[in-house]
Amino acid sequence: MSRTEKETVGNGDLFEDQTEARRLDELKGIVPESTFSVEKLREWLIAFIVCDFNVDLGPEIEWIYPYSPFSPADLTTICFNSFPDRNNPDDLTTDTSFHFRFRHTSKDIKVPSSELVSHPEFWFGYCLFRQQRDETVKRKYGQKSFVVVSQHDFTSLFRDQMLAKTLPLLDFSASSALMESACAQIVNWPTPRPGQMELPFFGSIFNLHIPLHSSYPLQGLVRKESVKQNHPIDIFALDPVGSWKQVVECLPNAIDLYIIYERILLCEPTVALALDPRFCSEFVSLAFDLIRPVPFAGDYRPYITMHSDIFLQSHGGPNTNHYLIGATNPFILKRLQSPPSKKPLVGHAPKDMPYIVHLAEPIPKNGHKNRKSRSPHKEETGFDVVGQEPKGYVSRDWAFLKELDEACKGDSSPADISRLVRRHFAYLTARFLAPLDRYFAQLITARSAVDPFEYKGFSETDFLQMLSKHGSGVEFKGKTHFQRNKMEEAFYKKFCKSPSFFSWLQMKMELASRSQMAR
Amino acid sequence: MAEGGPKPSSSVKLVLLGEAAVGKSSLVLRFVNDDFQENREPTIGAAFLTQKCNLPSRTIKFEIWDTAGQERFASLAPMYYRNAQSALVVYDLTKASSLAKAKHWVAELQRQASPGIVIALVGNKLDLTNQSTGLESSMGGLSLSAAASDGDEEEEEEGDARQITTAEAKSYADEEGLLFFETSAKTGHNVQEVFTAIANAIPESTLKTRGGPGSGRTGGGAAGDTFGGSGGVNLSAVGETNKDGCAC
Repeated sequence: MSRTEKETVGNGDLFEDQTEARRLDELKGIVPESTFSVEKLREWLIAFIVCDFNVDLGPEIEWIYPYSPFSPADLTTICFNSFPDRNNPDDLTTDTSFHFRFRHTSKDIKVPSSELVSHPEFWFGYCLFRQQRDETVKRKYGQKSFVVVSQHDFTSLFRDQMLAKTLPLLDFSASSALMESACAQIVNWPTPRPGQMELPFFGSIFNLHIPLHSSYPLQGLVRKESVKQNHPIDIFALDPVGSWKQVVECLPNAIDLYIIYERILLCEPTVALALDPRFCSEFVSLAFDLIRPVPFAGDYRPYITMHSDIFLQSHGGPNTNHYLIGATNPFILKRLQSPPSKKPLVGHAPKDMPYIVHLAEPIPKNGHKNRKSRSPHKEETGFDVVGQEPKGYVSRDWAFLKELDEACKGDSSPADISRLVRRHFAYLTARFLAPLDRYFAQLITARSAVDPFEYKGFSETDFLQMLSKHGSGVEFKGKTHFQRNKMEEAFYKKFCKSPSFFSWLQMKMELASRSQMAR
Repeated sequence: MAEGGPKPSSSVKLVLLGEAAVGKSSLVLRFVNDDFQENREPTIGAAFLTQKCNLPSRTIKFEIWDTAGQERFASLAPMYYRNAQSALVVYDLTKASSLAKAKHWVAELQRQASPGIVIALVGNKLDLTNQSTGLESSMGGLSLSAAASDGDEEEEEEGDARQITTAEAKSYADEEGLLFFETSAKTGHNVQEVFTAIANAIPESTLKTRGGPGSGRTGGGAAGDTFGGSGGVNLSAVGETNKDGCAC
């Protein structure tokens, strides 16, 4: 193991502004001048960065291409988040790809605005991490990460296709020529826009599909299996990466999917703790997708380390209690709990404690496991990682769970299992939103003209009255009709008070004004 | 070209390889836009272009990857020739070292590219030799091999920058089973012919399945026949299709 959590924690002051500025100047000197329009490149991405892990100094920037004036804070974030926080000792020679998201502070980098970027204050880092035996360095292993920094949440394009499938064919020593070539090709790509685009890249043609709206990733897209072996390669820009199969195999019980779903829908703090950054970042990508068309309103971070900018914003804790975070370092949990949590009172975790999804290793599903006893990280951290143990509101669909169980036991492909899970929860979300849609529809038709801003006239009391009259298509838990109604009301109330409700309303308004403008 | 009905259409991936400044991008520019520019900037990485080629029985859409010749980009080449059904290996017939580099590329392609790949060896910059005129009717290797007999004498003549004789390159191409042409991107001489010959040499079997590398198993033999022994026959067929040949 070349790095331990403790080591990484200790490197906090590695990047002082001065040294970083000097290093940047050095880099500026060695990076060849770009012969293309950087502005055109920035329609797609900001820069390629190669990070090298120096055993003595920690992660360092080796290359930035094209040269971009990143802020020292951003460089620190990129450096530290581009490496796994822990090593898998059994797996020293395969590449790992993962991604992270950060709030950037690089004011000197101008990125063209795009309707496809809803949160320009956040950027993404897509990484390909590689370790290679290298006799010339300490501990005999060289570790590098090849990073694409982009404003776009196009994980399937940048991470899966560009980094994981196309570039690994090359030796990292080709970095400078590689980055130059990549940029020269990308500047010839059309401007990203909804629809289908052919993007030539290193001998392959990517057929990129971007949906009309990020909340409706399937709308307007024709999906067919590609028959041609050669090309083009169909890529759905907003599809989640990874598969629910792997997640389900790690959950103590598949019914936890409902808990995850409710947490994300209500925008309640959730942390996925995995052994490697690929898995936790995939989980965040999958969970984010689970509640579509409701846009996740919190801060989502597919992968964070102790050096994440999330800890900088307030003093030692995230500045919001609405987050979805992936991590591999259990100490992250301690830092997330501000003030540092004391052992919670018997059975009652504080309200702002995150729900923790442990994605350690596949759990055999036959024995009855006591969930409370499971804290796979206790031994290594020395503290008990206790999160929320929510009970859940929505009644489980046993037919679905049976189908899922059989699919996981059988030979269904990870893609099929993902489709099954996504379809089930998309349908659940549609039924959940139906009473709200109905409420807004009657608000709108009460007036002659469609005014999207009528959405602002929402009255929770009126809505709940309507809900109790007509009910919801979602089945809630409860033994009696009365209990179920109570549960239903409580869940809708919670949703209407959550940031998710506002993000959903905002999206509805935006869509309504778009369609009005189209008239 | 009058059409009875829609002809089958297939995409063919083609990669251009060769030393820097032999005229790879100029050949593509001539083929795709029927244009020529002196002193072009060197290609960075690779350029991607497409062009259709109408054959009597089918339409071939070439997806052309025009790679950078500079040595620092050489290690990226496998990305481009991966799954390619055809390759155009270009040398500058006024520069002896460029043929050596071309041979290196041919060897690498034969070793590492798809088994059925159709390779054409192209000597460019014919306009800088004394053969630049008077051979308009020549069809690739056929008449050029005739011209080769007096190649040596011509080298002595004033204004002829030729350093690689037709005979030398042709015999190498025959040995390796390559299509062979001498071209001028500047005058356009033989440029269409190269692409049409490649289009004809792509085995129909690999096109029907729309296959890339996987279907190369059927392609290997057929392609070999095409540019091997029966090459002469095939090239005369190229000449015929040439009148209404590539759509430009």
